[in-house]
Amino acid sequence: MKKTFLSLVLLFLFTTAFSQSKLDKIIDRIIDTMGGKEKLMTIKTIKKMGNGDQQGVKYPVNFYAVHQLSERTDFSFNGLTGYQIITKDSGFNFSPFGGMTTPERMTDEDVKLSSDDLDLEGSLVNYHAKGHTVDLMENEDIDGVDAIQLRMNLKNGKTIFYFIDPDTYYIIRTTAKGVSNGQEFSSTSNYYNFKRIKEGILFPFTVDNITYDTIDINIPLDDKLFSTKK
Amino acid sequence: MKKVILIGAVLLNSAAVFSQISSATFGMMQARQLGPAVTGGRITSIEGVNNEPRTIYIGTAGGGVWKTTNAGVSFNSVFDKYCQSIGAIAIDQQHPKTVYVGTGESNMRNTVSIGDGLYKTTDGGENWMKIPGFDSTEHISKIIVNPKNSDIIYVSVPGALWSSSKHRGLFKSVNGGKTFEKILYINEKTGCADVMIDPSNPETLYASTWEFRRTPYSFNSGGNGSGIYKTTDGGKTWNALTGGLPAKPFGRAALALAPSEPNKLIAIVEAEKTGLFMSNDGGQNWKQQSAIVNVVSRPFYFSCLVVDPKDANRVYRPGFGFSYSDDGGNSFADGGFTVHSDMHALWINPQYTNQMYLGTDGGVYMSTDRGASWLLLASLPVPQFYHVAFDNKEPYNIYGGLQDNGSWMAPSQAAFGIKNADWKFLYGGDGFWVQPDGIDQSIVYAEYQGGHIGRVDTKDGTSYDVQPKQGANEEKLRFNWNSPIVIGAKNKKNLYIGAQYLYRSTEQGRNWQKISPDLTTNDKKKQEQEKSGGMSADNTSAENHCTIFTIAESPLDENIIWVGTDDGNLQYTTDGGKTWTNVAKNYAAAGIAAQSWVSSIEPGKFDKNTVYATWENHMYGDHKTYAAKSTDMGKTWTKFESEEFNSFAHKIKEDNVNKDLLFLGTEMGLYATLDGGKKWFRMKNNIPWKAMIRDIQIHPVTNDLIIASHGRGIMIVDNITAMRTMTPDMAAKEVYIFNSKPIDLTMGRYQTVGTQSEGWSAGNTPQQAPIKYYFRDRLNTGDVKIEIYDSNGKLLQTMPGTKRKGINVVYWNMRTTPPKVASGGAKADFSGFTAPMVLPGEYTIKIKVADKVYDSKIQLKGEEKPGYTLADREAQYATAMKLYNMHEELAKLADDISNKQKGLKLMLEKMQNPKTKKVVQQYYDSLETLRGTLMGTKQASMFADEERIRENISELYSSVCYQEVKPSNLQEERVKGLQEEIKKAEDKNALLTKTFSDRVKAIEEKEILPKSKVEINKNN
Repeated sequence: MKKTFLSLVLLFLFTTAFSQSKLDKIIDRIIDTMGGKEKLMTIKTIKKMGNGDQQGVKYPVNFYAVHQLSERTDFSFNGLTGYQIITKDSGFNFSPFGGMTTPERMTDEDVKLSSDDLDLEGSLVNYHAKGHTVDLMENEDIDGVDAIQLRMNLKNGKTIFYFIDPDTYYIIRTTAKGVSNGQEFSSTSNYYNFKRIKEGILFPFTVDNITYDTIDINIPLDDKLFSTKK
Repeated sequence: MKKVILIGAVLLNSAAVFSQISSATFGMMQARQLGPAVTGGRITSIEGVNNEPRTIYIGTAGGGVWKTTNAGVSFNSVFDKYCQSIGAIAIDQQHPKTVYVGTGESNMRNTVSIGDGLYKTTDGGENWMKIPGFDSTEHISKIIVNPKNSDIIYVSVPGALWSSSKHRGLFKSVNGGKTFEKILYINEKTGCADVMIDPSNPETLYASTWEFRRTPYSFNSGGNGSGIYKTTDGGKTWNALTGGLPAKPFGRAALALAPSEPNKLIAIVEAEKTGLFMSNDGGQNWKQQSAIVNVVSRPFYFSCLVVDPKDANRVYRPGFGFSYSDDGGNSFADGGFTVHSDMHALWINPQYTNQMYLGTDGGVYMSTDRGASWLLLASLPVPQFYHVAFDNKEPYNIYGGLQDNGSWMAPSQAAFGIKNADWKFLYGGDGFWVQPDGIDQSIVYAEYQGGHIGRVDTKDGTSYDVQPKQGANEEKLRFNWNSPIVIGAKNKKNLYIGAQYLYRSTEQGRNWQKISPDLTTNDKKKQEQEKSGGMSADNTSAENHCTIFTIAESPLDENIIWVGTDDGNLQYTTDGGKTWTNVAKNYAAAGIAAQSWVSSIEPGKFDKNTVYATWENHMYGDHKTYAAKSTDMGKTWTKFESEEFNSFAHKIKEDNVNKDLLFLGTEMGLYATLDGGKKWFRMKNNIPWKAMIRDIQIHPVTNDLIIASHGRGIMIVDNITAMRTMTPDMAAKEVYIFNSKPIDLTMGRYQTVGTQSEGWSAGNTPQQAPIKYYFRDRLNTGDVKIEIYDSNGKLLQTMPGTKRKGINVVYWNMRTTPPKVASGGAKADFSGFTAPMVLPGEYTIKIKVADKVYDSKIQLKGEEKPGYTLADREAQYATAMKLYNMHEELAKLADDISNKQKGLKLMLEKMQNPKTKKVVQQYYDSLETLRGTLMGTKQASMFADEERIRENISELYSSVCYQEVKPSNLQEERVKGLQEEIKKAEDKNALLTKTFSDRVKAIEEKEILPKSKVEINKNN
């Protein structure tokens, strides 16, 4: 009986270790595909310039971010520009299209739940040291692809499900879930049009209905971008 | 020889390509889930999170597991990939994202489904893992997580209903569900029905064992295996509790324990005299109490008994009705009179015990006054249909009968979505077959259990009984619980119903002809239903046997009629019923169990001698998938085989157009084949993977696949043409563009809006032009653009294309690109997203995939109707385009003014001379005044609108763009008025230019340009 129990324990430990090793290999492969850990860790700023598209109407969407400090997304239509600014400790939304005249402060909880967005290396890079945990889940059908699924529980309380094309190791979808202000939220993004920029890092140039014309990294960004003051 | 090899290679290649075709190939063809939730299906388990009681999981008889995080306002299905028959749910209250689900309902009626094991999630239902060891348990009645140690789990397994099995009893895990050990087992006929734990001392548990068995024609509840047991060492040893309990044999026992006083126990014990028993000493001594009928009725089916978490005197007995006690069970009162009968689950919010959730055969109800009043949570779409039918109206209607919830109809499309209120009740009782009359579609035939068919007039809701009656010197008629009612596939005047004889009416059921002898085996041993039930007699026609179960008239010849029975006979006539041939032995020769129920017959649509059929034998413990085809009138059969199959079959359907496209509905999922049955794949197109598919229809006009499920309601996959046309050659191509059928130009008919807070609402078919194309692989690199051109080659619109593997569908709204709208206002003008609808005609579609371009055409039809002729449409288009151009003209003027203002502002920043500065400022201000007449520029609140030229154009433009009528006289007049206003503004701009331009230019040349030169020189 003792022997059987020992065998079961060993089998369990072996299975757990094997599963962890498999998971780490998958994460390493994803990171390598994106350009490798070293290159990803050099990213200090990102600037993306592009357009959203809705039934033939294009509207500019621009994104600016400074690693672990701040990010801003601008979206323009009909001569007006709205934005979302998130910094380490505050966040603002401004949407003038319906008549909003001043930016609105985000709740602290929303800001906290957005903190991983400021990690320009990507949450998978050194995830363990960052306090996140990752599990390998069952594959999911994503756009007809039998995608590998990773579940990352982030330190900030959010959960992100990554779906990876097993042939290319591109991240083709993410779904973020969590509870904010007493309400559950779920946000899904689909990624296409993968290109490697000159620094050797892979980016999806199309995210849902937004296509970026240019993506630049490590260019200087004015601090004013991340302020609501005009 | 070479040729043979070549043909062989081609065939192999085709097979290889077909083998790559799967549900993912048709992934964009997502089923619309119509529900409804106007009445529910059977609810089997309800469990909430004690510390966050807004989060509740609902287990259902056939609709999987649903989760609400808002106390029941809305629900999400969290178990779509797995078995949909749910027996039990348990939440690890110490780690409430960990939830266990036991599949296989344990309310052991004749129609109960089976489970395939035990599942666990650690992320609140996002992902589930199957726990090994329970695959063949079939039914799980309860799961308990030790409230003090999350690693200890108990699973109560009644086990197989239709066969003997060792896979039953009480199981325990001490490692969080990784492994389980059986800790209470009686014999192969006896399982564990109930288990409860003492929350203050979790080593103490109570369990009831139950001996039971069904056959297709009888039920037995009770035997010496039944008993009540107690352990005080976590299941190592058990003592049978007997003091004061009835003598054996007894049947099913439901147990309850008062959490606030765990020595107080209550049991309802099914026995020769079923009774309610109470113990105040942890089960050593029991005392029988008087009990009202509801407390002790049908204990094999009603096994729910709950004590309030805080008040040991408050006891609830949800059963046939709802009863409650305020004296610990000594006496009960009836309540819940507004709730659907037949109750199986109750969860009480431990933080606020007035609030409770009740699971019935008609869905989930919530009470906030301890059951005095109830609210149906009408956003849980888990109805259990048996069959579905349709008519040929526009939009067509759907008809079907529901388990314990009558017969219903609803439109397949409705304004703003198909809501609960769009479902119309037709007939009472348990609903099964519903058939609209083949000629007069205001007449419908519906039934309740046992073949009680009624003729229903849908115009006024009146109905009368048209059931065939026993003739002189005839045996008593034997109608199945679920008696077939069928309209002729060839002759729509023929109405059929089956008892043991087949009846046909051509007079809407008023008069019938018996057109067959007894087509069953007429085995008298299988006709003793009055003795059925075991300890409690139970004969409700559910066990009626030796009956006709399926009828099908050939769509090619009304004299060919096929009939299948529940006792294995499959018979046909080729002379309208004069003579019959039984082919039961022939299908048995193909490996199909001889006594199986013939669950569906599908005479071929392309060949009279071809017939398909399904059989199901689960009532003899055999879950194999039996589906076969004969091409010689049933003489020989070829059984369909697939590694994908995993449960018994209910329905096979041949497509209306492509004879090789077949659909197969089983107890655990829907399958399709594109090659006549060689290769099958599971359809997952927003269809729960293991949904209980009971019926399948294909609409001949819309080409919609209409699916009836026993737990997930009606599902419709719109227009399956792409499935019909898919070939190996197409599937092998990197890109393939599908031709589109002509599309009606509509202005948004059957739009879809609504939220679950108003109850369940299903979407409509998009009324836009679908552009369909196929990608062999997901497009990860490169972009996809879709361009639409008119017949003159003018580009009308550009849209991004989707990039999934398989078939992609992008909808064109049949409009042009919206106009450029004047910018610079205080608010956005959403006319920038509005465009005129194009005119009828042929349009060219160019699909640009990376660097390749694929062309296709689409035909848009403009339906002529009174008040909206082609001339009206053209007039409307012309007016819309006038307004479109006026928007662009105004935008140009606004841009001109803004550009001038930008220049003037730059000048002002550099000017010093007050006198000339005043002139420039005056020009700037004049332009600003003019700009303020073009659009709202000053409004300082979301709720304050300024109406200027832009807003006025937009209002009119939006109206004209979205109306299905010629523009009115005043609309036309208003266009002219606005044109004049634009003209006036343009004139004003010109006048200002004339007034200021030269002066400002002179100032610039004198004061600004020299300075700029100096600055440039300085910088150089």
